[in-house]
Parts: sequence; C-alpha cells; structure tokens
Amino acid sequence: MNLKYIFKRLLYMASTLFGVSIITFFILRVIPGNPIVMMLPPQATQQDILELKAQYGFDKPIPVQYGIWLKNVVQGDFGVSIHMKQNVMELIMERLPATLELVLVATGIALLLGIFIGTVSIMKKDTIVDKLGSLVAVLGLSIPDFLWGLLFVLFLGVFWHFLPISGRIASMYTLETITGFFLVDTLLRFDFKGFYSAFLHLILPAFSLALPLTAIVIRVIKSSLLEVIKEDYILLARVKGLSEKAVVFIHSLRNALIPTTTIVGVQFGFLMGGTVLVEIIYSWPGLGKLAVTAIITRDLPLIQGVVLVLALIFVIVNLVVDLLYTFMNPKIRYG
Amino acid sequence: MNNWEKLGKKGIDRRTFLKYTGTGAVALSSGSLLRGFAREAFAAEEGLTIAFTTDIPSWDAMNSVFPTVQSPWKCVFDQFTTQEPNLKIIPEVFRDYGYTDKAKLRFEADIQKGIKFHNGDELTAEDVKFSFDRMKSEGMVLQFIWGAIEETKVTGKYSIRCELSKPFPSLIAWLCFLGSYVYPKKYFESVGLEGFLRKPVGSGPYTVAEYIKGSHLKLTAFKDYWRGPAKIERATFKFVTEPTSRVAEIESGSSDLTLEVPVEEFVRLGKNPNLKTVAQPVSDVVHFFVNDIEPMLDDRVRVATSLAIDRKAIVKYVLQDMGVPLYGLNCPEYLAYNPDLYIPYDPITAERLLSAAGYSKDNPVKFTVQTTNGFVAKDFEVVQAVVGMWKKVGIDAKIEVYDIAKHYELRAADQLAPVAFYVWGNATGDPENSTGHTMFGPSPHSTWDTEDVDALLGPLLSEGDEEKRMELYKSAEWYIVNHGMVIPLYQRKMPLVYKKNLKLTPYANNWILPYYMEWA
Repeated sequence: MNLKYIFKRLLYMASTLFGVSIITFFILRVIPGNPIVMMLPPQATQQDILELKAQYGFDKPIPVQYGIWLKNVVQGDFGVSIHMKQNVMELIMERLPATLELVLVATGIALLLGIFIGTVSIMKKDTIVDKLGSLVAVLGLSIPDFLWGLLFVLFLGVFWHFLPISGRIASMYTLETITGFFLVDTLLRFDFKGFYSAFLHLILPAFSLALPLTAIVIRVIKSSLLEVIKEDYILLARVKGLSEKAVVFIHSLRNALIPTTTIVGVQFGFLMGGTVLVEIIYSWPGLGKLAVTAIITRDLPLIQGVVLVLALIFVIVNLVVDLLYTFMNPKIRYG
Repeated sequence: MNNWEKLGKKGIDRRTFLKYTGTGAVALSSGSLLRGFAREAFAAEEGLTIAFTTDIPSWDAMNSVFPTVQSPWKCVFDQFTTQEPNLKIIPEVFRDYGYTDKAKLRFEADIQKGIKFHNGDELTAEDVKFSFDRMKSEGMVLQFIWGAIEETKVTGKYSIRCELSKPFPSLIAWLCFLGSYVYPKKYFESVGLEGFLRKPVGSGPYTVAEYIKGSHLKLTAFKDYWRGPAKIERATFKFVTEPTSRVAEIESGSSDLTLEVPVEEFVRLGKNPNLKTVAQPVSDVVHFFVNDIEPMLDDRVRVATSLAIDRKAIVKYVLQDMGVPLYGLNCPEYLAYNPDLYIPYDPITAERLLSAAGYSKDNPVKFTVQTTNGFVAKDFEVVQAVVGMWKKVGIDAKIEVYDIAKHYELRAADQLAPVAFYVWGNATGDPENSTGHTMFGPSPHSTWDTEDVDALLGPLLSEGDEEKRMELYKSAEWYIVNHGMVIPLYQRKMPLVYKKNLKLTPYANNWILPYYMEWA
C-alpha cells in the first residue's frame, strides 16, 4: 500500500467535497422557496421578514454567504437549523447512526444472500435452483425498495401481524444511547430483550433495502464466477481432484468478489442517500427523513450539512473499496 | 426431462423425504418462534400510542409558529388560556383576565394558584412575566406580535399587569395560540436554552419521559398536575409522516389513534369493527387567493369565477364529504361567522357576467391557477374539478403546480398567479387571523391589495369595541366575498381514526390531547 496514493486520494476527496458544497450552496439559493417566509406567521410584515433575513445572513450576496459558511464549516461549525433551531451537526449525528445501521445491515444481507444464491446457482447451473436464483434476481431488480417496503408492511405487518412496521425499537423500551447503533447499544447494556426488539424492527426495512441490491450482487457474482471458472488455475484445481465446493468457494469466489466489492461500494453510497422512502414508510428516524423535512421547510443550513455528510461517506466508502482490492488481489498495486 | 419429472420418475426416497420434511419443520418452527418473539418485542406499551403526522421541530415551543405540533407541546406546557373543542376560549394559567381601562391599553390577569412545574417549582407571576418578556425579545419569531406589550409588571405573587403600546384586539385570542406557553423562569435561567431544549420542563399534564427526534415522544402523566393527573398514564406520539404508514399503524394495532389518513382509506377503515372514525370539521378554510392583476381587475370576471363553482358537488364527489361547503373566510366555529353569507352555484349568471366583460365559451377569459399537489388531501383534484366547471362558462384556466415553499415565497412577494389555491388555518377563531390577515393589503400574506379593502380592515386592527369589531369584520367579509376578491371553497374536515374503546372529543383546531381522553 502506497502512502503517497492514499494522500493523493485524500486530496481528491477534499476537492470533491469542495465541489459538492459549491454546487449545493448555489443551487439551494436559486431554487424557489424562502425559508424565512415559511418561519413567520401571517401577521409578519415585510420589515419583519427583512429583519429575520438579516439575522440569518440571507441579505448578503450569495458568494459572501458561501464564504462565511465555508469558513465556519472549516472550523467545524455547520450552523443552526432554521426549522429546528438546533446545531446542524448535532442533528445529523443524532440521525446518522440510524441510517448507517440500516444500510450496513441491508448491505450485509444483500452480500450474504447475493453471494450465496449466486454461487449456488453456478454450482447447480441449469437446474431448478439456478432458475429460482434467477427469479430472485429478476424480482429484486424489477421491484424498487419502497414497493418491497409497502408489500412487507401490508402482508407482514398489517395482515399477519408478524413483524413491527415502524420505529427502531418497541415503545416500551427506553434506551440511553451510547453509539447510536441500537443493536450495539442494547448489547453493551446487556439488554437482550431490547436487542431482540431492535433486531426485529430492523428486519423489514433492511430487507426492503437489501432485495434490489441482492439482485445486483447475484448477477455480478454469477457473471464473475462464470469468467473465473474458465481460468487455467481452476482447471488445475479440478485436475488435482478437489471437490466442486472447494473449487468454487475456495479458489473461484475470492477472485470473483473483486467486481462485487466495487458494485457494493458504489451501491452503499447510493443506499445512504436512497433510504429516504424506506425511512418514511417505516418511520425510521434516519438521515433520509431528516433530509426530507429539511427540503420541505427549505432549511438551507441543514440541507447543506446533510448533503455534505452524505458526500463524505460516499467518497470514504469508495476509498475503502479501492484499498480493499489490494487485500483481495495482491497483484493490484496503486502508484 | 426437468427436475420435477426426474423426481416423479425416481419417486421420493427416505433420505429425500427426511431432508424436505426436516427443512419444512425447521422453517415452520422458526417462523412461529419468530412470531412469538415478535409479539413480545413489539407489544405496545400500556397507555396510548398516537401515530402523529409530524415531528416536533424544537422544544422551544415559544419560538415556533407550526400549528400542527401544538398538541405535543400542550401536553408538556400550559398556556395562558386554552380552548374548548368548539374553539371557545377558557382560562388556563390565567384564572381571570381582561382589560382594565377604557382604551384597552392595560391588561391584567390573576394566575391560577397551586400550579406546579414538573421540577416541583410553583408557577407564579414571575414565570408569567418571564414568559411574556421572552416572547417579545429579540430574535423570537413572534416578537412583532408580543412587542405590543410594552411592559409586564408583577403586581402580586399571582397577578400581573401588562401595559400595551398600541391596541391589540386579538390579544385574548393569542394567549392560547402559537408560541404562547408559560416557561419556568428559575429552571430556564439555570440551565439556559440548550439545557431546556435537552430537558424541557413545563407545567402541563405530562412530563417528557423520552424524546427521540424523528421517532417518538414518550410522555408520563404528571402526578401533581393542577387539574388532577391524566387518566391515561402513558402516552406516546409516534412520528409517522407518511399517510399510508399511519393507516398501517392503526390497522396493525401498533397505534391506538391516528389522523390525516387518505380519504379512501378513511372510508375503508370506517368499516373495521375495531375502529371508530370521525370526520371533524376543523379551523382550516380552503379558498382561492385572488390577485389584483389582469384579468381579475374586472369585478364581473371575479364574481363569475366564484359563481361558476359548485361547492357542494366538490365536497360530495371529490372530497367524499371530507369537507363542509363554505362561502366566507370564517368557519361556523369562528367569532365572526356570518351564516347569511352564501354564494350560489349559478353558471348562467356567471356566463352572463363574462359575456358583459367581453368573454364567451369561444373567446374564454384565460388565466393561470396555481395549486399544490398533495400538500392537503385532494388539493390538485379539487382544482382540476373547478377548472372543469370554469370551462363550461367560458373560463380557460391553466393549472400550474408548485410546492408550498414556492407558494409562500410568491405570496410574500405578491407574485401569485391571478388565482391560487390555499388552506388558511386559524385555530383562534378571531377574524383578525382570518379575514384580517388574508385580505389586508400591507400584510405580506395577502394577495389582494386595494384601497377599498384596506380602508375596511385597517381600522379593525386597533378597534377596541369587541362587538363593533365583530360586526365590522362581518360586513368587510360580505363586501370582499361578494366582489370576488377571494373565492372561498370549503372548510376542511380532519379524518380521525381510533380504537373503539378509546373515548375522546375531537377538537375543531386539530388538537390531539391525551389528557382529555380515556379508555372505556
């Protein structure tokens, strides 16, 4: 691993975030919708509006506003939410663990299911198992996450009362958070009932998010495995008399995982920003729901903060994925 | 030969049989085990769970103007006065109150004795003075309302006097309206705003047991509440912003009460034997703003535009009775409601007026009508139906859909289209907050600004004689509506769905107050 490479990537990251911040800041200020007008009741006069505008600094030219905002951000101050009147970073940090927990579990489910179904499909090629795997992939790809969410709510929540359909934990539990990840916090407090409640609350939203990604993983792993098993070293492994399971799981899968890692890395970033509908359907108190509230109320500092944090996560995940390649395939070198 | 054929040909041997039956048994038992655990894990807490429409923006209830979140705030904080379900204003922290001079520039109030804050401190005149002073201080969003109070003096442990700098006729109404809450002076000053936001303390019927932003608010009955402890000991507001998710909440039994569900779902839920549904007329007036620009400068065009709307048909067929046809800016529950005000559905007269103005079906008057789509139930559908009615008399309106933020911005800049759909809420029932601010030109929230209307409404903002004020508002409304300067449509009904064994009285101002509920 080359430190110079990592340093270069960090510089790229900074410039990407700078670009994202400029675009977001300027777009937000030219789209219709004035947050100050939305804050005030009908009795407010034009003078009241102007005074409040000045108080939030919206009376200055946009480049000046950006300069002030950037200076504050560099010092770790993302400003105060107009709608919620709280520190933007505090609001984001309150919600981020909920979204991260959901996305991490969804990605985990997608990886486990996808790799398992994809690999088994290759081992049982042209059998009913392979066809079932293909069916899962087609269904997963053709039905979007929010529709899975609605179907799960309807059947598993409303009709069969099988699993909880809203929130992160049953209302009977009062949880003092440590990390913000409920699965972790309940375990740290040895609250196993709470853990089970948090786990059950995660199942439906996580599966709703995971199924489309599972389908992508199945497709990628299948096509990668089909390529890999044609390689000479796989032929050698078979000639050596290794079992089919050993050939596929030990020798083929590791190399077939490289394109899957790329796809999952990119998808993780998209999932972070794409949880909005699933969070709304399941009343999941995450970043997506916060972003929607911020957009509806034109809470400019909050929207900027959320976009910047999501962009930061996206670039970090991409960097981690790139670095992971070298562990999975030592032949890959960055310079 | 496919696998099923192979299986049929080979028959099922013992090993295959055991493999599949074993797998099936494991799946079934784990399913029922999971279900059992699920029941245990998401069993609702005893008490009341409300699937509520929106989260609380902040615990600084005094510094906010969002009407929808008054309900959770009212659970934690007391107001100076409060309202009955029919909007009638009744005492709360102020036991007795009123103006004590002829010019109505001095307001005095006696405070209810024996009120305690959740931290045990007694509520006194010092707390009331502190609250009034904070409400009018720099940076508060309602500073310009409460700025009318020049000074608040503590005249006794349980009495205050306010000196007003100018007449403030709607003061009494504002005492139970947005931002009017009593905070504990000592506690607030000791913990500061940040500490207060983290741990809010009020004198309301419930204390905050847990608040998780974006998720839920858990409340516990305050044992020392001055009106007596709540019958429902624990109440939870779950923030479920999506209407279909709220339907799922009530239908699955996860919540005991919900509101603002889609019209079609409301009708369906009404057939559920375990649920009760109520469509409560609320203090939301749905109307079209009319802007004083072409072609609406012509009296005949405006009146024709209003006469061509069949309000009863819209309420019956588009809203499925989730509204009440309305012909003015005041609902029946409001102080200045005029039952004699009526706009008939009269397409023939509408056509005749348009013809006199030089328009016909072949040469229709053209304008843009702006609306939101989904901001309130059936907004876009209502506008579509109205545009269809207009077409029949020679009005060719083009629908422009925008979001509510753009509506506010355009309205503040007086740049709305000639006609724009809007829902105006006025929980106080005072005409100043309906006819007054909807139509008074200098207000940034009105779109119609002409001298004749301003001359009618301007003096009413400082009219001290209450009876005269109401009569003048009624006659101003008569003038405005009959000249088509605003086009009223209907009063909104709020769909409430709750478990059959829950006893509650719906409030005309949308309040959901667990304190006044009980299990049968």
